[in-house]
Amino acid sequence: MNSSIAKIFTNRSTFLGLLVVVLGFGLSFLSPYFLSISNLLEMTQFGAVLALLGLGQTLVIIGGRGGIDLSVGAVLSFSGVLMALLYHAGVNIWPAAIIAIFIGGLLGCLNGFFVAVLNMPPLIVTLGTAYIFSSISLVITNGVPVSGFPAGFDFIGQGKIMGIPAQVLLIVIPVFMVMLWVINKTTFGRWIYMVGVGDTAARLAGIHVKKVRVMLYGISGLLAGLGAVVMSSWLMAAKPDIGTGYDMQSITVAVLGGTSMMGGEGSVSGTLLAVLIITMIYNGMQLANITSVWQLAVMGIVLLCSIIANNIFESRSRQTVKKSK
Amino acid sequence: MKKFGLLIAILLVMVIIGTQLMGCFAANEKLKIAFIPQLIGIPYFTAMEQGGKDAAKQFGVEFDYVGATTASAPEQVRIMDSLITQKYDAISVSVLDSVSINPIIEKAKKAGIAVFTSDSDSPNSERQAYVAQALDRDLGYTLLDTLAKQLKNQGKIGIVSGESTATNLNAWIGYMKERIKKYPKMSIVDVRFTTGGSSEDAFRQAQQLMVRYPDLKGLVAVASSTIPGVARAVESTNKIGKVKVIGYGSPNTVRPFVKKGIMEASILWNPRELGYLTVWAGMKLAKGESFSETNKVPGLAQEIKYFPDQKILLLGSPLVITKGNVDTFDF
Amino acid sequence: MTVSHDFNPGTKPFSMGYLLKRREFIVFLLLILEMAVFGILTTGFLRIDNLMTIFQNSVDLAVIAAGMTLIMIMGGIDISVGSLLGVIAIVVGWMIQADLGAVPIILAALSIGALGGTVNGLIVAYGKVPAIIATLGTSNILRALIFGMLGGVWITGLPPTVEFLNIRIFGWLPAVTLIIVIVYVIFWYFTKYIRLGRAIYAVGNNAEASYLSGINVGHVTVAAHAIIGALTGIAAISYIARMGSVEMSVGLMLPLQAIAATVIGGTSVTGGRGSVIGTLIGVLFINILQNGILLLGVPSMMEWAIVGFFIIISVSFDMLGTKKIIH
Repeated sequence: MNSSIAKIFTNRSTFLGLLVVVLGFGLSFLSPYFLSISNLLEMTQFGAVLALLGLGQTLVIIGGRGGIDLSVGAVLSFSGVLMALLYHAGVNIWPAAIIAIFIGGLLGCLNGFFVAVLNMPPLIVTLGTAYIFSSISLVITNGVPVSGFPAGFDFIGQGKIMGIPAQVLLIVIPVFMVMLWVINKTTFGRWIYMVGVGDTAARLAGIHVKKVRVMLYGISGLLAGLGAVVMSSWLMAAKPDIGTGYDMQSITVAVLGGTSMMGGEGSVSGTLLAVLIITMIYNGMQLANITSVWQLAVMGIVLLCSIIANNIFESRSRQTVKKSK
Repeated sequence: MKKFGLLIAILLVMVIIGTQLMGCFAANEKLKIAFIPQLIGIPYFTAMEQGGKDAAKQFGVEFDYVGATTASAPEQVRIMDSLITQKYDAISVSVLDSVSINPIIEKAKKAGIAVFTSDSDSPNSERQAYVAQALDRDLGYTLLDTLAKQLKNQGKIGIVSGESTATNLNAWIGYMKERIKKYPKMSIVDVRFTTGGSSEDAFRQAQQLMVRYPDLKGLVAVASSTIPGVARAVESTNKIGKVKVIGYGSPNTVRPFVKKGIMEASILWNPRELGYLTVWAGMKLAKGESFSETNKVPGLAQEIKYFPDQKILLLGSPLVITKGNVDTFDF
Repeated sequence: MTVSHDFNPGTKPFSMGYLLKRREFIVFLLLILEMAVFGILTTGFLRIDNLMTIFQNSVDLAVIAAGMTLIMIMGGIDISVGSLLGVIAIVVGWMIQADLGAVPIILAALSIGALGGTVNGLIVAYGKVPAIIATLGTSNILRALIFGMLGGVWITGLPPTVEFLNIRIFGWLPAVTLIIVIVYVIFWYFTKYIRLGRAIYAVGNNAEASYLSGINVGHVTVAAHAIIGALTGIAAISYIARMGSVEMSVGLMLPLQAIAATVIGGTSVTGGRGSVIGTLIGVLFINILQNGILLLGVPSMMEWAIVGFFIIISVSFDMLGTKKIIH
């Protein structure tokens, strides 16, 4: 096998980038509407919230020790509802949004506390808190969506700057940039990966493992809170069950993006590409009026095939490396 | 590698130009009408789809039924957005959440698309009409009155609904609560919600309600997906006849339970006709025609009333499905 | 309560310290406490027909959770069980409608289940896809299959081919609950005395070491997934017997409930530790909780908050307990 081609397939981000292009072609044959500039730009708004949650999920999973956050959807619902109730209690919308984001962070830290300090399994902790947070959001709103946000608030979710949805340009891209910087240029970024590889080694390297892990869950919560603001502005309503299903979707994009469930491995750019892929598939198939049942199945197939394919190329390239040695 | 990138870029540009041109040339003579249900996979909306298809054949228009696999408001927005991009002439939606759908309805209207609601409404939106099966108030009242007659105006009632956030279900429950004041010896003891309107969850909730209130006389299964579970719960606890089950279920869904005597009646309308009427209304709106106070729709027996102040097109009054007429329907 | 293997030869059986360390014992105490509280605070909870209803409703979850225990002991997870149950339930429904006898139906359910499980196992073992992702993928595909198979209508009003499962032995014991007894006895024996059962613990404890000791990790993984698949087939039959109908949201809550029950019962999410008896107690704990909170008159929307609260409490209790013993 040609070595440069092998490199394309083994580097997850390049592999995903290529997949984006291939899908772009494929989907443009399915529907003539797909490959128009306005559609390609508008399409991104449907991936914005998922991108935020997926980025948080990526960090939590990289952080290792079975790291996973099943509560992101519930935190999203809860923060959104809380922001709406605060607004109706007389708080100005923007402070209310900031409070909601912080409450999201706080709920994330609560998860982190259970996981890192009390040593409880992340899967089960976040499953439990997911049940609790989503139930509380239903109870405090009585199941009824809260609306009546002020007119200017819809800018985040519905505004456009040069045709690009504001939530992508003003929220997702900056968040992504900051995360890229944190991960590649700061000590904290290095700590995340070291913690993910193994607790003992990280502790020996002088890292406060528990603190790092609480922060990772806190960041996931913060991003879910931010997602809540975007979602509320997009729908101009806070729905108490809006986050349902986002937990699994965010895990899907993280893993599709190359994050290892074992921890210590993964990249935020991979996750973002994965969000793009999923958004493209949904959008393209929807434009071709292919029923959402098929969208469900294709998602499953893409998820499985891309990971298996990547694994195969990876093990092959490892073999060629061995041979050349 | 650079060459490879350049090649891709050139191809991309070509495809974009090509598709834009195609968009111009693809002039379609037929009107394109779409309906977005709350979710797919449930017999009620499947019946609406069939009715819509019948109408499409009758009137020579194109009809598409496009829905998500879960009842989710963002999914409805996403689907509607894709329909706008596809330049449909008329889009109808069975609204899940009467607030979050409004911005996209506005967007569709701006794009010059006739946009209206069917089956479930968003009264404060920019929708051009609401094709209603029957009025929410009539549905709530009729169900409670029918049940009251079965229970001889006394007894405790439990309600099993779908998701606690479903706007239309909550509206019907609200009217039931309003109506029950007319019957001083009747009371609603509890309203239970089920996750995803799951039949299994409904089964469990109904069983437990009967344990908690041993003197329970009636169970209302509000979401059609909860009917099999609630009816089964009554059957398996041997309370057929002692606890009356009623709900908003299609004849095909309730037939076995009506025949076994678990349900004496189900309140519904003909979703097939509703789908039919939806396509007819879409056609009229897309052509820019207006409705008169009473309309004759080819293919529908009854006259269709229109209330211009609320812009509601009314299919008729609720239908009470009983043992006597359940076999005459197939939807 | 002494069924689990945790490869901890230092503790003496039946000493107080040993019992307090046994997760099953703690959860069992919690279960008794829970039943006492509901018995005192509600009327009707302790009535025999209510208790039997709880058992009857626990069958699908209990059977699947037994398989989930195996998978989780191995360090895996399976979130496709709900969708797989749905697909099998539809096939079973069709076969009942076609008036095929109980035996072919049971065989079909078991084999479709085992087949589905094997596919999961192959993807996990040889495709090297993490179990949570592999089963999420197959779950999506199977859920799509459910929609396609039902074609927008539901299966209702089935003839009573499998109704014999609802017969009440002695007038109070639903026959279907015997499935729990049979499955759990087999599992107890399986994990304790059969080579494959012990191999699963070994793989969960240390995959590399068990590979070196001659266990074929891939085969064990596939076998465990095939087993949970076959169990899902059994659960599907009990589901049909209980519900008599199938709609498209069938089994949606099942995977997470099975995982919760398994973990409450003491199975470690990271593998290597767990017992099927603990899982059974976990299943009963959750179902009794859901039953009791309705009888207490807790509003519907609060239900899951309470379940979530107890999930966390029961796991944190365990964590604190083990910590004390270590110090």
